[in-house]
Amino acid sequence: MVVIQGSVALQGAFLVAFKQLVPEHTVTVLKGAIKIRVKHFPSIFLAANTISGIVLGTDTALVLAWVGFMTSWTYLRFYKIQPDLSTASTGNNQLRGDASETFAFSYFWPDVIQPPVAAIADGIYNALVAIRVCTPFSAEDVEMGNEQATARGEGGLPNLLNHGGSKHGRSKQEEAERRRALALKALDQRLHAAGINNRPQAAAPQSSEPNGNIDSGPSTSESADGNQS
Amino acid sequence: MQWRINIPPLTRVLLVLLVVLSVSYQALRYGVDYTAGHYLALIPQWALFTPWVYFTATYSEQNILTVLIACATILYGGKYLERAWGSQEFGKFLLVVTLLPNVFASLIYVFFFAISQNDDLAYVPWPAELPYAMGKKLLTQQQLGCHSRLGSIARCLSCCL
Repeated sequence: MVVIQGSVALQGAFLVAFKQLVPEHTVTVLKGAIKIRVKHFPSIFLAANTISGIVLGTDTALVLAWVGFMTSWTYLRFYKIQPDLSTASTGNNQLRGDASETFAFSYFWPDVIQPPVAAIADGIYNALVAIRVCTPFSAEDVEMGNEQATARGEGGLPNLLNHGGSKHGRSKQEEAERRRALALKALDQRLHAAGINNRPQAAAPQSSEPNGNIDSGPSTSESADGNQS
Repeated sequence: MQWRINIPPLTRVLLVLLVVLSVSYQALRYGVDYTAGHYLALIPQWALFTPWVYFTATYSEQNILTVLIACATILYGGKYLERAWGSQEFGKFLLVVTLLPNVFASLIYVFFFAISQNDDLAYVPWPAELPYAMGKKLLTQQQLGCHSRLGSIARCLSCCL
């Protein structure tokens, strides 16, 4: 009596989704002893389940892992509607599926066997396109997909627990704000220096100049503080 | 504790569902009847009569270790993906990834039974009705033949009719 039960398919599917979203994130296990990139997770998971299924006899986990992996990849590649991250506009620019090259089927496998897997996968894909099950990816789609992938890589997404300490933890906005704050500080310092330089020269000809300078000093520093906080 | 606030809504629902269904599965198996697992878990032949199991089988776990692993999966996966995609998209993804693998896995197993004709794996014990099941098996064997593919598929399915 075979009982199919358990969340093994869910685990496989989540790993594929992680690979799509943050492929270059490095996870360190055992305090730095083992470093694994997220893009290798699905293949490690499948290998572990396959070996366990053959050796230990947990065949339902094996079947569920493979089926979960295939279902998730097919859905994410061809059917899921992706929000557009690379441009500033929202809502209407939604594309279907993720045509980027790095999410192709062959990239899930180790480098050694990628060319033969790519050949087989391309063959199946072309056959499906020929019988009109799949709509072919145009060059535009592939480009859009690649753009989305780079936009994701530059940190438009929430980050995981930040094990590997990768740079992708900071989002674009935070970076921009940091730079803005630094620029304001530099400007403030320059104004201050310019103000100190101007005061001895301006004090002699006009008496209103020092007042003007003193008034402008606190107001600029106040505005700078307001922006920085 | 801070973690309570940080779990997105759909993930919370799933975690509760996981715990409730796993406990219910154990309660059914050990409290009510040892064969009652088919109300929550996916047994390919029974699933046609209890169609909700294509969804609940993923969330009713067998032992405490797998419950913990599933908890961790849903917690970390759900936290990240629900924030990245939004609750609706995450919900759609979850439906696809829960239902379709169960359906395909059960199809694969039925096919495997048909090929291997291994009756020990195919039959679901239902103690009170065992003579009835045997009778049906003999009848279909007579009608369709022991050695044909159709006959063996019919044998697999007939045990629950």
